[in-house]
Amino acid sequence: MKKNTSAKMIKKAIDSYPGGICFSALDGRVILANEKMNKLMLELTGHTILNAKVTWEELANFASNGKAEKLTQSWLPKDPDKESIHQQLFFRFSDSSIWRFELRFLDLNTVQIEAAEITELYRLSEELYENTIRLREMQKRQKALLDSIVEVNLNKEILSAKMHIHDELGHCLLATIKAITEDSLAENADTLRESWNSTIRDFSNIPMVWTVPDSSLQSELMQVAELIGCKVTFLGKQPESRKALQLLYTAIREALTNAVRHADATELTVKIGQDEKSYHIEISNNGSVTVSRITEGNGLSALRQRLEQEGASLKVLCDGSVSLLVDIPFDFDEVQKGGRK
Amino acid sequence: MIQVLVVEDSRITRDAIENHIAKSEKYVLYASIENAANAEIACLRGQVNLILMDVCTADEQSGLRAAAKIKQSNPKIKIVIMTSMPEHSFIQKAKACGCNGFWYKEHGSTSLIEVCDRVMSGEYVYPEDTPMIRIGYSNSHEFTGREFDIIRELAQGRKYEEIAADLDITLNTVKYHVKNILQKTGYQNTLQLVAEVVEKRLILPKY
Repeated sequence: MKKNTSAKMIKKAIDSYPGGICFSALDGRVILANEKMNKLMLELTGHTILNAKVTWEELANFASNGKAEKLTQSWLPKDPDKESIHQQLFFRFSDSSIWRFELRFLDLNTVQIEAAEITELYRLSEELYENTIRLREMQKRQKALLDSIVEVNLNKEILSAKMHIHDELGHCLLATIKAITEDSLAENADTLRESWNSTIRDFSNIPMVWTVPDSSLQSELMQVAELIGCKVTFLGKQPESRKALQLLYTAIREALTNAVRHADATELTVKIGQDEKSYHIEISNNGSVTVSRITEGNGLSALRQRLEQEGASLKVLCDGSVSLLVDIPFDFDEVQKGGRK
Repeated sequence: MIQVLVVEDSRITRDAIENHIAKSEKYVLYASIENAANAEIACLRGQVNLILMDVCTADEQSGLRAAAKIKQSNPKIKIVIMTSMPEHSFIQKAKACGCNGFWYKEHGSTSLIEVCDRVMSGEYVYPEDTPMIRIGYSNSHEFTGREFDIIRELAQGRKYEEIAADLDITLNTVKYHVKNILQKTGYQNTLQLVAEVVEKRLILPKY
């Protein structure tokens, strides 16, 4: 600093600062405050800054006075990285400008209060907050959409089929009216009869469309097993959760495929037991092949991987015939939490 | 007679296909099921000659995955993939599985029976392209293969860093593609893009 810099010049320089600034001792005695800070304080408290500590307390307990209001929204542009900042307060003045007041300890004896206009930053923060809320909503909608896409597709296909029936009916009616008005009913009788029969057949399917599709895992598997000459018998109570059932049936399918393909089995028995923690499932068959050990192929390896991913486990028992032992924990939903699929 | 296995979870579509088969003199229905995961079992006794396989079947089981398994163990069985979804990767996946034909239920002019006849005579029958879908200001045919990869990753909820690792490209390349896609479609962010793409079924991450 040059020798001829006077206190007056320092004051003039600090007054030219566009924000408000005040330096004080720890007990609040004002060392230096610029005009802007005094002007802002006059608006907020009705007096200039006399004691910084007292004034800050006034600001902290500020109630709207018609000239300004204190802002408390959670998304205000705070600056958490600056460790020296003791506290931040936000105010909106009557001219709609937004100001941020920061109190910070410069050293053991000096405190600085700084006021900065953040009107534009405030507007952007508000916009960012609104956008974040909107994006969260979109994320929720997207997730719901992904979860229900199969159902949406089914409904679309049903609608498409209904439109087809509607078209067919319209076609039949038009053709019949034309035949009657042109007096050609007799010569077109066969064609019309076939059209009406086809439309009536479509109509007879409508009640079935409105029933819930038979998505029971057990019934279709048993029908398919019967088709290839293998009877599946279930002993014990099956899991209630959809996910546990899906794992169970994935294991049964693999066991059934192997039993028929490699051991020519005609019966598959699924024994389901449980303790306080998990289901214990044994899947055995009456296959004709006797083995002491097997080499896991793609199917069993994929099944093991799938089960272990979900927190379940698989053991292959080679005791003459091959049996699968599957353990599925009740709380396997918890096991998966946090994992990326 | 050609024994046909129908895998279709929509009751009315299944009935319509069964009607077509019943009217035909060449084909006979072997079985009709809803869940693709049971299709391999149905083929175990070697009596099935042709499978008409939907892609999105009951219990969210993928017909394409089932087709791949069946082709591995029974390459002689002919498989025609059927779908109403314009998902851009289905044709490519069906070809990769070795499926013999592909039929769009709601698009195109070729009938299912015609596709079946050609497939049974040894042809590989595929549509030239996926149906064109409007996405924002753009249409689905304007996206490059890499852009589809990026959109698929976004639809699975991946972050840019994860996409870069999955596709073995740099983070800047991911951002470059995303910027291009958003410019093409006119969307302001990737969420809008993904919502539209999934809603119009151009990308179905589960299948």
